[in-house]
Amino acid sequence: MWGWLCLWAVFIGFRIAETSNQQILLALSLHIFQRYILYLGYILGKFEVTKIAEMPAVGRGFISNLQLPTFEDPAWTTPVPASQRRVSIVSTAAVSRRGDKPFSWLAKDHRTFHKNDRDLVMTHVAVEFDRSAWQQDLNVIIPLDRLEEMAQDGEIGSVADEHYSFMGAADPVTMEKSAHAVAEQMKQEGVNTVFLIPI
Amino acid sequence: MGRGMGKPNDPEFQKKVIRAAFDLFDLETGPVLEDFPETIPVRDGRMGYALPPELVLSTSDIGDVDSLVAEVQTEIDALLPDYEAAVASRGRTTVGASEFPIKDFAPFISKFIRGEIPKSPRKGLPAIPLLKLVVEDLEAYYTETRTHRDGIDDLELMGKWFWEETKAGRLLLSLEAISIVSDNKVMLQIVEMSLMAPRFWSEGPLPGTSAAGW
Repeated sequence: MWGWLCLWAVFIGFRIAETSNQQILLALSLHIFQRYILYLGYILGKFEVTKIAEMPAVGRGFISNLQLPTFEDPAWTTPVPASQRRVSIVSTAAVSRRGDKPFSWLAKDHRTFHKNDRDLVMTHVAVEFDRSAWQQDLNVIIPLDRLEEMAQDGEIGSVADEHYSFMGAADPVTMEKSAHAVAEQMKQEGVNTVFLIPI
Repeated sequence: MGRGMGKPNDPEFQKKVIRAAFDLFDLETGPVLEDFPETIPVRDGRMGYALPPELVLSTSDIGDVDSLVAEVQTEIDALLPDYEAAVASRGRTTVGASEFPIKDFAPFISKFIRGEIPKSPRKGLPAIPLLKLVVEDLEAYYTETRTHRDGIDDLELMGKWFWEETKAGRLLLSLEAISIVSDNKVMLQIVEMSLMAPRFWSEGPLPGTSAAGW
């Protein structure tokens, strides 16, 4: 599941880049992939590296069978200066505005929410990730308030009006049509920086 | 997992994560793979709470469903003032993906425990996917309340409390017991793939299943 999330992020990122020539931020998704899946963090404050072999059986079996795709000739564009960044979030958390159609279990579509929306619900198929954090603070998965503060402080240019959510457990290949639609919406809004955040 | 920016209600830590990611724009080439310097410890190599493998109910353990539902309703009623305080304080709630009133959570779940597959009241959303949303709403109601009331942020403690100590947790373990012997493929899939009860990070699949879906 986690591999799909991260691979999805990579996939979407490249597709958007190819489509719109925007700069893509893959760093966080890749970072999380490496941190949690390849090196797998530390245990109980002992600061020992956890290996896949030390993971519980079900998760270990699933993750051990994940295959990393390779990308030929990935797009990589020169970033605009930080002060000119207009940032939109793409999340794999399957969040949507209350009342929107819930994500299906293998959803290949997406939902859009406004930067001022806070009344969001989650319909992700998976239950093995912690949900108590986002219940306490939306910013732990969708940091709209943090980005707005950074914009006000001049660290970035602006926060886009629209942000996007996918159901990250689905096969990313099936999301291509939706990814193109998201990229088109971003282009229309002048987004030049995409913050991909796997759940 | 579920904590991409690291810590809830910690704006400075969240900004550190964002800045660290944005700093990667300064690199000459990409894609890049970079570790964030700080790591939040996890337990036993797992990224979320997991039910103990031995905590499994069979259908013979379920007992009187009406009594269990009544106990859950009592629990829900007792939590309500603190839940409302939590919503008022946070200005939001994640409860409600199912669009069910809170008082209807347990009665709806109990229908499945009795072996029924009721007709979905929501157009375009079949009964079993709706059941999953009701289950998640029920858990969110409990954990939103407790994290606010007690001022705690501990996913392991929340999972243990809800799934191992509350009547609501027992209701859902009863649902799991029914699902695993169900001849409905979707009900079985819910438990086979740990789509309802958190067993993905358990040391072993639910007895009677292979976890082959993963």
